[in-house]
Amino acid sequence: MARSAEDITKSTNLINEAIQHFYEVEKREGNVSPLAPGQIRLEGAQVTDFSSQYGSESSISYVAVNLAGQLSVFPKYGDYTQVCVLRTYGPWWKNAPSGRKPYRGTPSDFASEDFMEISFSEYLYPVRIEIYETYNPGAVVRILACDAAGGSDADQGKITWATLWSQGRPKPTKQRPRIFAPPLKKVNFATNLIRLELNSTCLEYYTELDGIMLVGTLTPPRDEIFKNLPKLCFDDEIWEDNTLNEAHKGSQNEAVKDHFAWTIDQLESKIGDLDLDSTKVDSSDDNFFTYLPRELLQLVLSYLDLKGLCNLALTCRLLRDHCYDPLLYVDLNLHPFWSRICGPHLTLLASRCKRVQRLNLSWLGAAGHIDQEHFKRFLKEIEDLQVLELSCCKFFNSSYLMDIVETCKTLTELNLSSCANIENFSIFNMLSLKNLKYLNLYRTKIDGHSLIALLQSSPELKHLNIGSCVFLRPHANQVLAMIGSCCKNLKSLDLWRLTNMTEEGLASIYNNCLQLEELDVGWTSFLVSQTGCFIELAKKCKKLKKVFITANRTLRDCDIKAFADHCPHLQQLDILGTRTVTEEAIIYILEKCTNLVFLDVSFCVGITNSNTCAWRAAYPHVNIKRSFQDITS
Amino acid sequence: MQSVAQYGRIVARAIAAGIHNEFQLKSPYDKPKEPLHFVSGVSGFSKSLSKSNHTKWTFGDDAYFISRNKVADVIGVADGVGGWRSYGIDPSTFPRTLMLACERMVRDGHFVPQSPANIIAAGYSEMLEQKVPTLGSSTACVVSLHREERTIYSANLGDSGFLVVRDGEIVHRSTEQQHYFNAPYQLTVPPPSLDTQWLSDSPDMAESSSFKVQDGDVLMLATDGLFDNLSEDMIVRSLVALHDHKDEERIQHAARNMADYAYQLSLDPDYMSPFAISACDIGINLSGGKPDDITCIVARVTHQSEIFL
Repeated sequence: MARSAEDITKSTNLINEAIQHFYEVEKREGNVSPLAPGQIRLEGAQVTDFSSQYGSESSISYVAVNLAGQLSVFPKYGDYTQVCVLRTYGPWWKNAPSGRKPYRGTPSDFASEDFMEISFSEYLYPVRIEIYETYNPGAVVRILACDAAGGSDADQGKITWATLWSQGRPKPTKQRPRIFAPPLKKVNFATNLIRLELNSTCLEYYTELDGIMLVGTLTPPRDEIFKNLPKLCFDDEIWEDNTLNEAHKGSQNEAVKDHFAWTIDQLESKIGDLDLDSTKVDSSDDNFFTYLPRELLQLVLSYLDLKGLCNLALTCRLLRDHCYDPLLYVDLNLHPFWSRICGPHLTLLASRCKRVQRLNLSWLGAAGHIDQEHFKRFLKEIEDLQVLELSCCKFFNSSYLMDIVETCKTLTELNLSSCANIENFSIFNMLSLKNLKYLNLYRTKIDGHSLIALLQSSPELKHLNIGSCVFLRPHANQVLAMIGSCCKNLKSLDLWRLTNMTEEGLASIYNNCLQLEELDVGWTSFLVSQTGCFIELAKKCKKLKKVFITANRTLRDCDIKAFADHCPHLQQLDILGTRTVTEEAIIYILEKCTNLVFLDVSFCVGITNSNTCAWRAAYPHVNIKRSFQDITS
Repeated sequence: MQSVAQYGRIVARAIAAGIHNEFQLKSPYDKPKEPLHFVSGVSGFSKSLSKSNHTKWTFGDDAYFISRNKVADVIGVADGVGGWRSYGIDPSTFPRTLMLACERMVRDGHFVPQSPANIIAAGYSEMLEQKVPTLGSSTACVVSLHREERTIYSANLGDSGFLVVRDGEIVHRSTEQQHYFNAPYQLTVPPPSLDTQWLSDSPDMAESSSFKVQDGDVLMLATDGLFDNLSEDMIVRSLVALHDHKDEERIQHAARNMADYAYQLSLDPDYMSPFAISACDIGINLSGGKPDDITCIVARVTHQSEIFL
């Protein structure tokens, strides 16, 4: 057996060589360089949190945890199992029937859609972060670091995050392996927790990350570096930089408050002090704005995002009054501000939130715990909440869920994807959400009984995502039978990796849900084409627009032809990894389904690369995906 | 009542004494209770030299892996079933993918060293998680050495196998699993619609064992290509010499010699190989060696301190 000490040097040498190579190739960009004296390079120790992953929960293929540890693919380029892969890419999921429309008032520079949180074995003052991208690079849009000194207290869930680097839009680059090491903002604290935020919408295919390295020093960087720091500017960056500024001034200062909190706090105190009434404001002076019709002013303000409204409210009483108009907060998207918001902020916002209809609280709680009291009070303030998104909320557990079900009777859309801390969904056995139309339970611990109870009481349900729900597996077919009998109007159904489902379960869907437009049965290996289940599906569900039958090895030509014959609206089809589907069937469906825009034939043994290229030329309106591995190496 | 108590006491004393003796016997080796390691070498031959694409960790349709993590050293071999070639499927893909998956499980620490059968099972299910569809079947044999416990744990499915040689004698060996002559137990991913035609065994069928090892034991893990051509006598004779040598080069050399020897004999038409003998036993008139892919891993059990000098 090879000696481990040798192993280590060998792997270090390999990395150094690769970096050297990249340094030479990408010299112009100058973003990757060998270690300077005193610097240390650490590989990611553990992935502590993430928003989505391609692989199965129990597997080690295509899962987020692969971001930690040694590199295993780099500098190869291709679609490999040993890396970290996200669940979606491109516009395809958003353009599907289950896609949701964006929130009004979202800051234009906020592009993050997925995140990975990764810890390191030691605290380092970050100098460089190297992200090893081995397939479709360019998804990273923001890098944050946990400021352990600046008032972070992991035990209480309070973490101060500082943005080390960000870009407003993802920039996909050339199709080749890349060490992505953007220039980081210099910070005066050591960190052992890094958060990557990604956006894959511009990418051609799944992005794959092999690993992440933190380069830094054990001691604080020298002072002159700080003296030479460019002056931090206002406007856009003020939100991001204020905390940084304050952290620079001195971490002992307990009142390290960010701009957002400060804004709201101050406004609140003003209200208390002044005790204004509206007549006073109108008659106070000849403010130019007073001549504007209220509606016009409201229209102007409606173009501002949340931070714009907060800033503007500071300027004068009249504008503050307008900025506080609850009608401006019909769409309230707090997702972009996750790193700034903790419980008390919700209470401060509550006064203007009476009219909120769509509320996005995704990712909240990663910066500061949101305790139940604040959360409950906030929800109670809202009169007619219809859409609630709580994706990846660490704080969210069963008792919060109970609050929602009790308080928000009018809810039509609920997104709990990746809320891993909800241990118990039994609340659905007692109370119901009668108006529910959209429910996303991706990667939650929902169990069969609770879901069945929920389905029985939600006849309106149109969209359901139960992808990667491990606890549903034992009852897969019962759950599907219940979906069939309760949700006749179902439009989209995501059963990604519901591995135990069989043709019997699929039958209860296609026999009942005739309105179905979208079905994802990726990685459900017990579905066998020979039972004729896919042909029946195509015959019965004629409205299908999106069908993902990823990695079903049994799929045959006759299934593809059935979809071509019976589903004229078909837009997206994924048949990755089939063995027997031939080129004839693909040509047939390309000819017949004129609405087709997306076709994934990656790893289909019966289809050659040259044919794929020919089809791309012949059917330019179809985006034909063909992923690859570099087998030779 | 009293006599029962007395009897119990005698038994207890006897057991204690036995354990005591055991310790005394082993004491020259055991006293430091130092963790043990494998020092291993590997060699092999592909049946068809023309097809000698030297992919990492493969010899023809055989594949192997050598890996380790904090608690254990793990080695394994897998022998692809050649029958798939007539269906246009490369029989080496399956064992190679399986061994790669097992190696990753070990390296990332996703396994229990005491239960190598789980490594095979997890490797198998990991293989099904890959986007690339894999077809084929293979045998598998995985041995893991738990360093602190100074014990090897093994799982064997099919006709690959291993043996442990101490002081010129075989002290532990795996047992072969066959459905019938030359049809070993195997893990299979069958092509769609042909499910019933193929021999397909679950990873749970693997035969498991454990054995306490000590410094100086030599373990040889090999595919049937070796066992079908070398008798146990020959194997033991080659391995005995290793008792006094712990350097990696020497062990690598021994593996090389062993594989070489087996390869030469497999091509000898007059040699009465173990394979030919067992064929004769069931009434098939065969003689000569059995040309097959050969993979042989030799691992010497060594004190940790002697490796990291």
